[in-house]
Amino acid sequence: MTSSMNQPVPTGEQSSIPEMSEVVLEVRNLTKHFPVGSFFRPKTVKALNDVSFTISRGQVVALVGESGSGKSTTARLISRLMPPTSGEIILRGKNVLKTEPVHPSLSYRKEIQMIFQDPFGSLNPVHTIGHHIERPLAIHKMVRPSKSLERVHELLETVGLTPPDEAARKYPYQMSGGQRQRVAIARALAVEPEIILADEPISMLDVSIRMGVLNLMEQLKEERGIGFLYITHDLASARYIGDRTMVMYTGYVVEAAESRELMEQPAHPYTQMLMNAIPNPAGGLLRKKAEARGEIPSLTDLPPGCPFATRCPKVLEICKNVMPEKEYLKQDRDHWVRCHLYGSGQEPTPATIF
Amino acid sequence: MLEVRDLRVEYLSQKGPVRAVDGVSFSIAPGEVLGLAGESGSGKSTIAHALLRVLRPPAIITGGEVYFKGKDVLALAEHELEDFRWQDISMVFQSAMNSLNPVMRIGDQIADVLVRHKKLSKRAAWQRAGELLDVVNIDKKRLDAYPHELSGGMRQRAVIAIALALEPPLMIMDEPTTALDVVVQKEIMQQIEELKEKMRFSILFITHDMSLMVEFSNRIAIMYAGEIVELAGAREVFENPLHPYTKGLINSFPPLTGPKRKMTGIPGAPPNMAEPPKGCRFHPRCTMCQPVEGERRPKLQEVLPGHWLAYHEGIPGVNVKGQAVKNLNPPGLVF
Repeated sequence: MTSSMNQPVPTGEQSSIPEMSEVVLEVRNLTKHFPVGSFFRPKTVKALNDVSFTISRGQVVALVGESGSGKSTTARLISRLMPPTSGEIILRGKNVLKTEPVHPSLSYRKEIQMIFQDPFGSLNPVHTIGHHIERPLAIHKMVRPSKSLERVHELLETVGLTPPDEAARKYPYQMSGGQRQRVAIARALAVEPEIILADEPISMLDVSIRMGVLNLMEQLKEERGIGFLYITHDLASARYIGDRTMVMYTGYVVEAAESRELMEQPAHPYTQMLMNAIPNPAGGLLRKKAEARGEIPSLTDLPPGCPFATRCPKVLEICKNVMPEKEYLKQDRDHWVRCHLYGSGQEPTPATIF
Repeated sequence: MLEVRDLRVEYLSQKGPVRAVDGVSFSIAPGEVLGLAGESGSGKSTIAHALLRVLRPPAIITGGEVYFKGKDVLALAEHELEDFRWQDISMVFQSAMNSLNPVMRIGDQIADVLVRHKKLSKRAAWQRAGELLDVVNIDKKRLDAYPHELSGGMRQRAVIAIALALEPPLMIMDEPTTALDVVVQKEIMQQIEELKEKMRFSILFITHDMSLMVEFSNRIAIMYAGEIVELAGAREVFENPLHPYTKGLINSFPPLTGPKRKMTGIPGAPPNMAEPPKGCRFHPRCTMCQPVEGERRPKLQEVLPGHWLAYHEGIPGVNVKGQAVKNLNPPGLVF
């Protein structure tokens, strides 16, 4: 496996120790609006609004939120499966939307790989596992054709599919969900990417094999310095694997911090509500009263103020009219929140819920 | 109230029968919530369908007994089943999206049950349907709505209203909140809890989410490959799990508090039920496995008061009832 360990890294950096502060991918003010409705009554679905974050080498950034909050849209925009309405994507200092506006270049696609939620839909049923992994090797000219099979076996071994020659000959239907997800990871690894966008990689897997896939991701992060955007609706797994966690609501990132900081001292009322709603064997779900009722606002007509105002137990008058800006609570942990409860310069008062 | 003894269900396939449920026994007392936990394919839903006798070929019940309030469910004739289903046991299915008829109004779907079973007039049934929506916190005006006009959480509530319509003493809930977000899940589980207190029904609660199950159930049965491997009080299962599979399952949910520690999950994959492993079905994935003579299958037995465990009998130091087992070194138990 040593050959793949020697990734092309910039000069002056030791490849063995991931440098946490080295930003690989930066996203600035990413916005995506989908036009819907008829010609005479056009509407827009505001799927993603003003999302900014960075992913460093060997960092796992978790993106959590309910369905429809814009998590997958974020991944799709970064993978450039569709163009953003506005915003910038910067990979290693290069503003890729400027330099390659229409189609992402081969080199961009090599650096940003994706793992999808559904391991049953993301592999082609008529091709062998080996074929799935050989394709990116050939397209990106990663190895000489004569070495291709050898490399496929190496990759399969890395993701724990042994014996690799047997696995390579199988078809997707002969594998379980967890094994298929490992194939998807091996396929992403084939091109030695810097960033892997993992869109709910474990939510369709059996409970007992989920941890195996998460541990594999963690191992890749530590051994190869791959940065992950880990998209999930499960806060516990975000805490387990994510160095940093961002919480999304109706297309806005409403709070971001170090994972433990975020879950031990959630500041945004929505984050607090999420934390309270998670079943906890230590008890309390059914005794704690649900504070917020009501529905998530429609993305076609978001209220002018904070989108959470209609459900928020601590709503202020200003919340209904003005969208709050980012407020930093703790600079050292890079903990910020979009909420009027935390005014500029104000002493942070996040609730400790445990 | 419900008594299931040695239930067996097979799916007939071209390669021979697949035994999806293999000798499962449990009971549910009035007002009790029994949780049935396990991975997909472990036979949870098959049990639910068998209890309602809605299994269709190729699935057939090949053995066992099911008694509901003294009634032999497996012996009921087709016309008796019509009264039995929904009146005695109703069911909330996993995906509300698929269990509601997309071209019928919500009101009609609830009223349908009442007209059919209670012989109410259309108008009275519609009236009662409105009350039921009230019970599950949906505005009565939504009687006129079609399923696609409701959010996921509201649809699931509507399905619960249909299950409540005849006030059955037992409700089967098959992953009632799996497709929902946590906040909505919490609201619905709280609502079910309130209704249960008010209307005093029992629940057979099926899910793979151990955390939710521990909070919501009184007792939990852990299933693996068509068998119950452990059955005990909810807190007991969580705090003192004895079976390696139960331990692995609990170790598959990272905690929300406390220091970060490595979680291992369970190595390997669930077995192919067409050819289940011989002997203990968990042994290919088990980290505590010890060879047992003659590939015998472990038997479910009571090892602590109210705590049942499938393990091998006759191993020195193991076959002791009571406290001894609790303090036993894990490798001493042979599975």
